[in-house]
Amino acid sequence: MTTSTALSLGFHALFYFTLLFVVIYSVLIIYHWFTFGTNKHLATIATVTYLAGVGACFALMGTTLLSIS
Amino acid sequence: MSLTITLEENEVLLRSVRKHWFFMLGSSVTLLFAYAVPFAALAAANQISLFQKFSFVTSPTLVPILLFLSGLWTLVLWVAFFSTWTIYFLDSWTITNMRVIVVNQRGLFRRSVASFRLDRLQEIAVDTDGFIATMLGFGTIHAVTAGSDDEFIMHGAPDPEGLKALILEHTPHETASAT
Repeated sequence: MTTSTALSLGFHALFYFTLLFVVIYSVLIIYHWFTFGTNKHLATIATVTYLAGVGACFALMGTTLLSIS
Repeated sequence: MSLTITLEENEVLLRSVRKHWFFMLGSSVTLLFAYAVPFAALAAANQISLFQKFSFVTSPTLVPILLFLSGLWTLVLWVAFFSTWTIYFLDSWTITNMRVIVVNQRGLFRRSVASFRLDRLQEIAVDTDGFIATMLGFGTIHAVTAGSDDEFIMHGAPDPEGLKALILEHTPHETASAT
């Protein structure tokens, strides 16, 4: 295995591990907002903002992942 | 509006309060500083490496890796910010004309909910400590109820004198005393 392949595999593993962690964590955190929160409107705004930020970060990571080899 | 609190018959929601915004601002500034540190370090390292006629930020091999890592670091801090905000958002006091519901959220999985009836309120005190607390108008509210050793405390309450007045206004006069 070449160094560049190992590097690429490492970053792919990091990406998918992070994706798994963030998906589980996001479900937990959003569940908290809607179950224990006292303001549904604020919880909805927070969910949209949070998911937009997470999506932008994963888009950046995913795009650059293709260039790492 | 309310998702979790079920009001009793003839019970009216008067006010729902969270900690003063200053506490959220403090955490946000700390996270922002933590966010900037690796980028500042990279800029400094790049400046040093320029003396060896090499630049991190233009190297075709390093650019995708740096972009990936910056995306990852942004994600970590974004999630951390929302975790902090969640604790701030869920930590609250809800005041009705009959009782005060105290939600103490200390972590994502550390939460306690308690309430005391206003007719059981024996003493309520406000403590404003320090220059910033005085200028921005936040403090600690202590409430003691009859027949219980528990003291209900809200740290960093906004407008504590106003909250105390609101609680006392709806408390039967013969029971509570203010200090």
